[in-house]
Amino acid sequence: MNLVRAEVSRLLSRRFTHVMVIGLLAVFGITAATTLASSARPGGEAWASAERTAAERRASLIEFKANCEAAFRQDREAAEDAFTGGCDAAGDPADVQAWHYLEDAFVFEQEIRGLTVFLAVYLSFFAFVIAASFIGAEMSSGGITNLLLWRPQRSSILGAKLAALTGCVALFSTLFTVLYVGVFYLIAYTSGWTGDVDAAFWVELAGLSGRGIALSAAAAACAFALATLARHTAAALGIAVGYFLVWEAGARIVFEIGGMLPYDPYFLSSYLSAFVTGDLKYWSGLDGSGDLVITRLSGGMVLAGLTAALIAAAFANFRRRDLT
Amino acid sequence: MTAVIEISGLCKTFHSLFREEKTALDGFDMYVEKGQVHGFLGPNGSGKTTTLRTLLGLLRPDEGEMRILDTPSARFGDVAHRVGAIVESPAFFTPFSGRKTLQLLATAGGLPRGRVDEALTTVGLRDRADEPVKVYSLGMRQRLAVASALLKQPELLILDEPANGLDPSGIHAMRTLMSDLAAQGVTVLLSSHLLSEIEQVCDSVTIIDRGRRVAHGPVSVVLAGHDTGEHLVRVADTEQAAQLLRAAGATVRTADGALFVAGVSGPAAISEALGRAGLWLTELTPLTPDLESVFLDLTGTRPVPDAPPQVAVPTRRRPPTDNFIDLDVRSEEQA
Repeated sequence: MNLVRAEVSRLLSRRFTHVMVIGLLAVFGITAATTLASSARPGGEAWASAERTAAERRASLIEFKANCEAAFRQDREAAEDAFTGGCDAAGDPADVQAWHYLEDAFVFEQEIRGLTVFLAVYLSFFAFVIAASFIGAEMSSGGITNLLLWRPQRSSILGAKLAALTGCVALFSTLFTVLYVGVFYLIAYTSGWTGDVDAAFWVELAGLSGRGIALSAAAAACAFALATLARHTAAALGIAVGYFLVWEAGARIVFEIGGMLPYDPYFLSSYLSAFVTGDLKYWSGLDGSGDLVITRLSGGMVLAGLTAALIAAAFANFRRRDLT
Repeated sequence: MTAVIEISGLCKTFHSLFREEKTALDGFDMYVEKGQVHGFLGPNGSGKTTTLRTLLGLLRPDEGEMRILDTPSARFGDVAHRVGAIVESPAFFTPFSGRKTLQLLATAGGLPRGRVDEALTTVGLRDRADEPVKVYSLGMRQRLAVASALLKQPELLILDEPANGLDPSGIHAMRTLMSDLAAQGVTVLLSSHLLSEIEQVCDSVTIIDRGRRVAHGPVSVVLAGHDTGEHLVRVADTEQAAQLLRAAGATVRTADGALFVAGVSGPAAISEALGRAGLWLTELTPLTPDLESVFLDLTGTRPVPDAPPQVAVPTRRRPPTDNFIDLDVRSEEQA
């Protein structure tokens, strides 16, 4: 426990950590301020305009459904080609609400999912850099050697550092997510519109936020493992940048040009996206005959498997390595 | 006496995919007794730091046995709280202050905070403790490293080049600290290039060259083992003096207008032999060896005119030989 306390203290004392947190808060502050400035509490005119647009939309959906059903009655085969998604594909007119069409107002219920996904990505980047620097600096400076002269238990030392890091990242991500969601709710409440935020909505948002926090903790653990294996902060960052440039961007272009479809299962980002945002449908066949899906569960398992493999490799390597 | 460190047959070779393998330790032995201040000498690249790193569990040995505080080094963790150590250049996370650096170690080791101030005061860093390590000079970092080793109030203190970068007053303070610790019963293993310091401070010494022990034992015994019994003699008529001394059974060589006389019972014999013939001495000096000359001879690093000495290249392991100089009297005494 003393080791974990010392490592938490070390992490929180680092200037790099302070700079990153200040940077994160600054970006959040700018985003919130921009949102606040561009949002206005809807007045009578805005509501009337939104009601008109909603009514037009409802009428459009009713007309679409009527046309679709008529087409199916006349020629079923031709209708199946024309309306591949069926007659309810465009949505239920009863679901159309006026607040969906509020033009100048920040509508919390509509916007917060996308903002939370953005937060998950941003927190993961933040956690990756902090984690790589935390252990990379110790490895390259020789600080870890000093610690091992005190506590010559390599697994305990590395484990304490990992526990302190992932614990702090998870706690910070949780607190920051609460702050983030809370501020945007407050903006919507005071200068926009909250929308229909019932219990089911909050449960879904909590799930999305939880997966974002898990992604940031996993990013920290992966960066920690890479920096331990490579012994330098820059090496861990280089591996990550190299992967995204060479594989996620470069290979994707090659697959695209070569017509090698579908290629989504070969990219980590597909699994991360499926884990955070939900099942990812990536292919319906050239003739639209069948859907191929990366499920949230498989996305989560890939993330967990990758993290566990990197951590296991880092511990195995560190236990046996000569510290010169 | 109780052994605090026992090393026998220690071997360590570094392997690399892209470079030739390097043998750092080639059957090295060392024995440090409780309460000693033990000097550990060797030229650059001779294996001193590798020995200490291996002893402290930072490197994995290929062969050999090591015991520290009567515990196999594989279980060093059991006695680590009784051992304070610094190895090679002190490495710190430089944005942290000296105090913060020690506080983190104290927290990790479950020590009271008060120990931090005591250690900082002992090494003379009390008034600079809150400055970041990056503004510390090399000597101040060295002091901080020693402070980190002292935090635990160790029974065994292992210091690798502790005087590195210290100014004369720092070296003096370090020497006093060693003496004080030894007086308190702390065993100190001191690796250093400052041979005069070792000679002043240490009770015993081990000299390593190319991964093998080439001399060890009490400092006085090591020096005595290299005492050729020569005397420097200066006299007006060197030729006649040489003849007289040879006639008296001495071995005499001449260099730089002086005589180097060996094989006599003592300076009085020289004085008497020359005085009886009416030759009066202008200088008569017994040539006792110092640690530096012994070190240079044993490690083959004595400078040659017009040929700057080069750092030895680590080699592959050599076959075992018996041609090292064993000046240790401990084994005889114990036997």
